[in-house]
Amino acid sequence: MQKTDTRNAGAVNHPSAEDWMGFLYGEIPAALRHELGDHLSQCPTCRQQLKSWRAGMSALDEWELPVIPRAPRHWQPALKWASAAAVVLCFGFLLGRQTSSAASELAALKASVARISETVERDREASAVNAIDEATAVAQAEVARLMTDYTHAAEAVRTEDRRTTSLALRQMELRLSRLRAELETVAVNTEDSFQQTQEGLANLVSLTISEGTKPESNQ
Amino acid sequence: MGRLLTSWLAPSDEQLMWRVKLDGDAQAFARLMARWEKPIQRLCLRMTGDTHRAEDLTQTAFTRVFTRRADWEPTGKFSTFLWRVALNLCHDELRRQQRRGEMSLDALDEDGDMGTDSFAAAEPSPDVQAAASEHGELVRRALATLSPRYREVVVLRHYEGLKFREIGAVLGIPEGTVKSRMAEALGQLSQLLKQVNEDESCKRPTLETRAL
Repeated sequence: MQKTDTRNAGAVNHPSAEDWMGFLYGEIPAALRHELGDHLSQCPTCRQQLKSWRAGMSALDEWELPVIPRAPRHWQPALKWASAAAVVLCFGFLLGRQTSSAASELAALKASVARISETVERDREASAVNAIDEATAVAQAEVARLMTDYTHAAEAVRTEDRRTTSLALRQMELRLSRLRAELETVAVNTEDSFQQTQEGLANLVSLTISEGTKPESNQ
Repeated sequence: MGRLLTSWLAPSDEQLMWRVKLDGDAQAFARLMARWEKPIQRLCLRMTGDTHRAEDLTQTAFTRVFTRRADWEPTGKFSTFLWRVALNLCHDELRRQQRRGEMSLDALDEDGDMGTDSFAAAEPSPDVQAAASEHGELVRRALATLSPRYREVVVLRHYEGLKFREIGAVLGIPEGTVKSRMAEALGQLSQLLKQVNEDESCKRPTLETRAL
């Protein structure tokens, strides 16, 4: 406890204002509180001072703030309308429950179930037919695609065969032409040989004849 | 029970602010705002005496906290940081009001000299005036005449319930200084209100005599 004497030097050590603030707002240890309480019971000066401070504290309590409005939330209008809609729906539901009989509700319910069942059956048949049609269409499309592929493949094979045959024919023509040229060469050579042979034979014949006539003339 | 369990499981202010500081987590900041919007608004209202200015200052305070989230030290309490930001804004606003001549901030000097002329200086906003009781309005005006350095201590300790040690951390002054200011503020308030009551009691017989 800070002892200060601000009023009568040398007479009494009064607790400091800091101690009394802790005392008034309950922020001091229990031992110090007892000590200050003892001092207070014996010191009219401090009692007067505390009375003044407590008056100030009591006055502060009298200023109450107005209710601070909450900031508007963006979902509040939606909540308001949703609440109104819920109230209307509940009212309508309760009104309907009160004004309709149970038997008529049951009959209406059965009729609704029968209609729904019939609708479901029709839908199921229709869906089966649709499924078959779709499968057929898919199969036909697949066959058409396969046929097209086969045609293209066969055409490609035929084209290749024609190309190969044409190439072979050209090669044979080339060989034939070369053979013809060789035969012509051989024929020409043969003819020349025949001519040379004939000329040789003719020369030989002429020589032979001339030698047979020469002795008779000498006798 | 459910609320208590929820409060135990809920992240602390410092955990939320840590997310805000690191990632700019808007959801965490929204939770901090939901927790602290009303206390900060009350502080601003007690300091300025104007509901609409208090709302604006509250929004500005949270905006400033978010933009300056990097300045928050994780070793300190989030509330200390927030109170300090809000108080600085209140002081700025009070200085602007003073420059505009809307109120006299230094009606009371450091020694506590005062007069009833300054007591009527601060006009309340209509909503505050309507809501406050007659005596409460007197107190509000008396508090408005205190120096802001006294008023902030009174508001934080008496109305918002902060400990003297916590107020010292917010204001950056020793705990003893906070207590001294509180004692001075209470003394000035008590003296001022006593003087006003005496003035009114003196006027009342005069008016009654005139009526007769």
